[in-house]
Parts: sequence; structure tokens; C-alpha cells
Amino acid sequence: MEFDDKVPIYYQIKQYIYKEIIVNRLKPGAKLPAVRQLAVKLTVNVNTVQRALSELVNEGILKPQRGKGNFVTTDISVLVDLRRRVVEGQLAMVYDRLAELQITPDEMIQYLTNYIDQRKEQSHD
Amino acid sequence: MTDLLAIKDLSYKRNMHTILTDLSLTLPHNAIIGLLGANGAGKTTLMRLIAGSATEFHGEIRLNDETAASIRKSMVSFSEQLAGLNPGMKLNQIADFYDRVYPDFVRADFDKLAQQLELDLQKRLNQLSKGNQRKFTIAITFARHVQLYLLDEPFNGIDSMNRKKIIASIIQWKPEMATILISDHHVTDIANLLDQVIVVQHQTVVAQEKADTIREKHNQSIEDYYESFYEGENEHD
Amino acid sequence: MTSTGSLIKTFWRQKARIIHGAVGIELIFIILTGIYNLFKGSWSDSLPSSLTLGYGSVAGFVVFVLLAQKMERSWVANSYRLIPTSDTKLYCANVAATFLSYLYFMVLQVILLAVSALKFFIDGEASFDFPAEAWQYLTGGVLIFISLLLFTWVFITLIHFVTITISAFLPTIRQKLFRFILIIAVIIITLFAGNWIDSGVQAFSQWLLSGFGLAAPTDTNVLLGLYLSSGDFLLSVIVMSAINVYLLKHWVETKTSMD
Repeated sequence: MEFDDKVPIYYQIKQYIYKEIIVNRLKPGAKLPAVRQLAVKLTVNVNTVQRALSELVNEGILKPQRGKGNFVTTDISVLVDLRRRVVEGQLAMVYDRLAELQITPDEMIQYLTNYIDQRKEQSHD
Repeated sequence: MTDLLAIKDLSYKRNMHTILTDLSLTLPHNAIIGLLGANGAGKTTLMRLIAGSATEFHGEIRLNDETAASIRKSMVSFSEQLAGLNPGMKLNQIADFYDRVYPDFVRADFDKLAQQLELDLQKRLNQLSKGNQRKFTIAITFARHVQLYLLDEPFNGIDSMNRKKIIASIIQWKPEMATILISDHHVTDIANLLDQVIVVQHQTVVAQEKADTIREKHNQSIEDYYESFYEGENEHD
Repeated sequence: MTSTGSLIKTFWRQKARIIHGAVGIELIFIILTGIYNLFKGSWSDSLPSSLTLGYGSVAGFVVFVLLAQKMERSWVANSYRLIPTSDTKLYCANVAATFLSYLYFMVLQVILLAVSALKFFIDGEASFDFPAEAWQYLTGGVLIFISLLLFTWVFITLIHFVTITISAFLPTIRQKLFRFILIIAVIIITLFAGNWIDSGVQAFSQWLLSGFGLAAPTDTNVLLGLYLSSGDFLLSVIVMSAINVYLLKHWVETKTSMD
């Protein structure tokens, strides 16, 4: 995995795990690899993985089981909330950029719909 | 928890040449720390002093509250510890030597490490390529179970494949509470690994900062942060 | 911490390799020269023992030099100096192993010599049936040889360490030239100092001898002289070793890989 060196690594690991959960590569109730194994896989420090995981535990996304490891929560409402949060995060960035360009919310919707149609056509070709 | 290593007002002079002046530094337990600085800044000397290869200094080096060099030697595994061995020795024989002389050396771990790093133990030290020499050094260094590992330019002059293998071994074999100090003048190799960086310049430590703080507060990459110490100077290579 | 036992064992292995190599080469030379003489028709029964003696003394000198070189190199090698033990123990273990391995070499030589002279023993022409006095002289001779050996090794180490210590204060430029001049100077000064101390000790032992009423050169006198001078050597070994350990602890650093 490639990291952006200007962003804290633990933060990027969190984003990576969010994504894995949202695209269902990590299913509800699935066990995460051991911390050291994850660290080797991502070529980062064990402490960094530890920090990312403990924040995920605090957010309720991971459930630690003593002596067994970390598991993705089976609480669907938490996962739905996560999905919403991540999508909102991405939208917030687009919204802020467009707002900087003084595009009104109505125009934004228009642009977005047009853009989506355009992409659809491209992928049909 | 107290610090693992505490250095106070360390000065070191050799051949009418001052190498370190009033250097103070503490290292915590359980961390991977980058020791950054231009060539000749004194990184190797600092490691030699901590390990006990260099002996005549002013100031204090305290490792787990112990100052005696012989006790320090039992708590530090330094990547330069192979220096001076007969280069005609087989890797197997060298491992036997370490097994006999270092009570903290675990032969079984060495064998696993060597296998992981694809080393042929029947070969002689002087038959190894640069990359394999570095890998062998890592295997010997991490087969010792100690609290402080000193890696002096572990990636110098090797290709990216070997670098990746070495980094993987470092992550995998670092004992839980141990600290690793890695010196490198090419930071990007190890930026993702680091908990902290220490910058050595003008014969002393000019900065010690957490990697996350650099990225979060200064919004900088570690490389940019390091290079900011050399702005306006041409001694950077 | 590394135990003194495993330290000595490690140093011993390192040195035993030198000795086995040297004795192996010595044997090859003896056999080759023997065969050569056999073909030339100049074989005699005493040839094996004289060859053993001849090549043995060459090997003895070579082994002595190689052991000294090995020992001096290990003082400045990380692979030995980073071993978790005190410098005092490291020093004693290394010197002891060097010394013991030379004794081992000498034992091997005696065995070789005995084997090469086997015919004479079988024929009853030779025996160990020397007069008691001869044994005494032999013991005295061996004793002085051994203490001289030890003295020379420790002396070489002293020169090495003093040179390192002084050159730590000299600039890096022309380090080689400086070192060369230094080694010569240190040797001369040390020899002078040693000589001066020695003459003091000699005077003292003379006085001691005369106290015993043994001023006349009798056999006992000579023997006592042998014992006393080896004692003298051993005393210097202890004094020089104390200086060596001090220098090792404080000034003798390992070589960096760049040197």
C-alpha cells in the first residue's frame, strides 16, 4: 500500500480499513489479521497499526475479543453510520471545492447529474 | 515508565576534531526512531558511543539506568557488531560464534530469519553480495533479544527488493518492548516505519519530533521536515 | 553477561585453528623433505627428528607471530569488543587463550618429536633417563621461555595500545606516518624504561642472592637466576597488563568499517 507521506500513517490505515469494510472485503464479524501481520503487510510500524486499530475500537467499528484479536462489528447500524460518514467526508471535499468556485448548490446538483451521465456513457463505449 | 536511554551532555573528540558537543537525548521503550543527518554529522559516532565501541567521552550515557559499558553491551545489538570478523568464515560458523558468545542470541530465531531473507549459510562472508551482507547483518542483529537495536545505514547501497525484505524483517522481528534506532541519510526509505525522528546537525541533536506531529501539526512529510534543517546551507547532499 | 568460560573457549577455538593449520603445514614439509631424502638416498634414522626440530622451530616462530596478530586485531574489532563482558575479563581471556594455545602447540611438538624418534626408543638407544639436574635445567629453561613469550605478547599489546592512545590526540592527516614514528618512539622509550626497571630488579636479586651467600656461580645459583628472571618477566607481565586493561577500557576504540 502506498501512503501519502504528509498525512499521518495511522489515519491512512483507518481510511484503508473503512474502505475494506464498505466494499465488504471485510464483512461484519470478520476477524482482522494480527497487528504484527498487518504491520508487515502494510510495511508500517506496529505502534502505528495499534493506534489505528484502537481508534477503530473506540469508534465501535472493531470489537476486540480478549486473546482472540479484533473483529468487525456485527452492529449493522454502526456500519451504516460508517458508510454514511465516509461518503459524507468525500462529498464534503467536493462541496467545499465547488463552493470556493462560487457554484450554487442547485448548480452543483446539475453538474453532478451531467457528469454522472457522461461517465455512464463513457463506460458503455 | 522511565526512558530506555538517557544521554546527558555528551561530548566526543578524536584526532583534534570535535565530533559531538553537549548532546542530550532520551529514547523511550517500544519505538522505531530515525536518526537523520548528513554524512559525517556524527550519527555513526553516536551509535558507537551508545553501543560501547567508542570509549572516551564526556557526559553520561544511561541505558535502563546503567552506565557501565559492559552492562550496556548486554542490552544493545548494533549492526556494526560483525566488523572485524575473519571474512573467510562461513555464515554458519559466524552464527555459532554469536551463539556461544552472546547469551541473548537465539539460534533458532537466526535460522528462521536467515531462511526468510534467503541466505545460504554455507557461503562465506566474503562471497556475499552487498545486499546479502546487509541481510546477514540484520539476521545476526535481530537474533539477539535485547532492548535497543542500533541500525547504522542498513539500506546503504542495496536494491529496493532487498530493502523491502529487510524492512519486513525489522517489523516482524522487533521484540515488543524494544526500541530501534535507524540511521539513514535517505529518509524516504523508512519514513513509514518511524515513530519519531531525531535530527543531528552541528555536532548535536537539533530536533526530536514524533512522526505524527510532523505530519499533523506541520503538515509536512518527514523528508520535507528533515530538509528544512538544511535550507540555506549547501552541505546537504 | 558472557561467562568467562565461554569467552576463553571462543578465543581458544580461534587460536586452535591457527595452530592446527601451522602443524598441518609443518607435517607436510617434514614428510615431503623426508621423501625427497629417501629418493636421494640420503636418509638416516635421525633425519625425522632433526626435520621435526628444524621445521618445528620455524612453525613455533610463525605461530607466535600469528597469535600476536590475531590478538591485536581482536582488541579493535567490534565482533570481540561488543561481547557483553568487562574489558578486564576480555583481556584476561584473550591473553590466557593465546598462552594456552601456545602451550598446546608445544605439547604437539613434543609428541611429534617423540614419534619421530620412536625408533631410538624402541632400540633402547634413547630414554628419558636424564640426571635430576638436567630435568631442573629443562624446567628452568621452559619456564623462562614461557614467561618470555608471555612478556613479548603483552609488550606488543602495550606498544599497540600506547600508540592508539597517543594517535587519538593527533590530527587525522598523515595518521600513517605519525603512527609509524610513534611506534618506533614508543618501543625505544618502553625498552629504556624497561631496562632501567630491570636493572633495578637485577640489583635487587643480586642483593638477595648475596644474602643467601650464593654469589659464586654454582649450579644452584644459575638455576635460581633462571627462576628469578622468569619471576621478573612475570612481574612485568602483571604490571604491563594492568596498564593494558586501563588503556583498553578508556582509549582503545574499535575500528570503524571505513578504516
